[in-house]
Amino acid sequence: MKKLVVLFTIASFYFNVKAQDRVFSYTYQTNVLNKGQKEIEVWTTLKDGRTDYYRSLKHRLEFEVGLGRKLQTAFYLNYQYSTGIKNEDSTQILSEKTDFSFSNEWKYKISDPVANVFGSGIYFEYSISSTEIGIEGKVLFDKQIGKFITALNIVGEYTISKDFVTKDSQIEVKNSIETVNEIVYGLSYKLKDHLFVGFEAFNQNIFGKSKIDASILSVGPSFSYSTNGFWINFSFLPQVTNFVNNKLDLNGHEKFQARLLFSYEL
Amino acid sequence: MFLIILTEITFFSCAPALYLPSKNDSEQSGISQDSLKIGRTLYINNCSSCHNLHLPQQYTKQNWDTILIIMKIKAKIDERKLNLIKNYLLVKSKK
Repeated sequence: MKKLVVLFTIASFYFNVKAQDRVFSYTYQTNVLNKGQKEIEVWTTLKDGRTDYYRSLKHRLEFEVGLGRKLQTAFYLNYQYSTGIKNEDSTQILSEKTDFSFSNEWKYKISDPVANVFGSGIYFEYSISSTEIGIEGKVLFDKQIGKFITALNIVGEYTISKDFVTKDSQIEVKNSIETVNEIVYGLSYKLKDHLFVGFEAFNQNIFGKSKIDASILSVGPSFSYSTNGFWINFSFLPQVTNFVNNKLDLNGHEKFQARLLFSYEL
Repeated sequence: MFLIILTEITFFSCAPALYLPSKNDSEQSGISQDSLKIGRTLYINNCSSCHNLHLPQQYTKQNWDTILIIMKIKAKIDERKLNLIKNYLLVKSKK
């Protein structure tokens, strides 16, 4: 019996250390893969519910690899499509968009969430598609207190996209620039060895030429389950308010978004 | 505002979850404080790159003995370093 208990302890410890420690869908933690360790992650993000019909789905296929004790990189293939009704000069038009892009991320862990007062890290990502170039930087913080894991990200994004305007028989190409700042927070509780439940809060601030256009807050539940070499995370974030006018903004933003992530260790 | 307050409380008001060896720990275990500190550093450097660190009080002495046999091979830790790590972990292991 004693031997059985010891064997069970070894097995559960081994499976725990094999599983990824990521428990949020939107909030990044500071942990990185060990050197040579590889993972495939599949992301699906659904956004739905504007005043006029709108729905979009974004899929990301990520190949992640650890490069050292504190550094990892990842390559993404992104595919996004959306359908919605747009108002242009008092006429409604049906807008359908499809976009393919490639991204590459770099993540460096500075301090550890258990060994240090708090974990910290930095993150950089660039993306390129046929009509857009974007860069994204994040400062990551996380902490483990008993059965709680909490994480905070401060995010800055800068995107240059091409707009095409038909004028007479010519097509004019114009650059449009979008600057976005985000604060993402997650708190999760370990219910069982492989199951975490909690919530995530996502505040997205979109800046125009000289002022803030929107400051959308979305808050909702998150779940995470992991087992040997596999984990799955899900978060559902309904929009709570737009801080600019303290009302829901369903013209340019969605009523809710949800993200499902699943991953296999290679 | 709520997020800022929550963040301040959770991130900056607590000490590291992984204990820092005190004089008292050294006296009770009969192992020098410096040796325990080295054990802590080795534990962080050898283990935190693969997984979130487990707290010493999560496992009993018997559990740690067995776990460390496996991790010694997996993480390629030599005998001297393993003993320092083990000493550090066992001071606060689950009774």
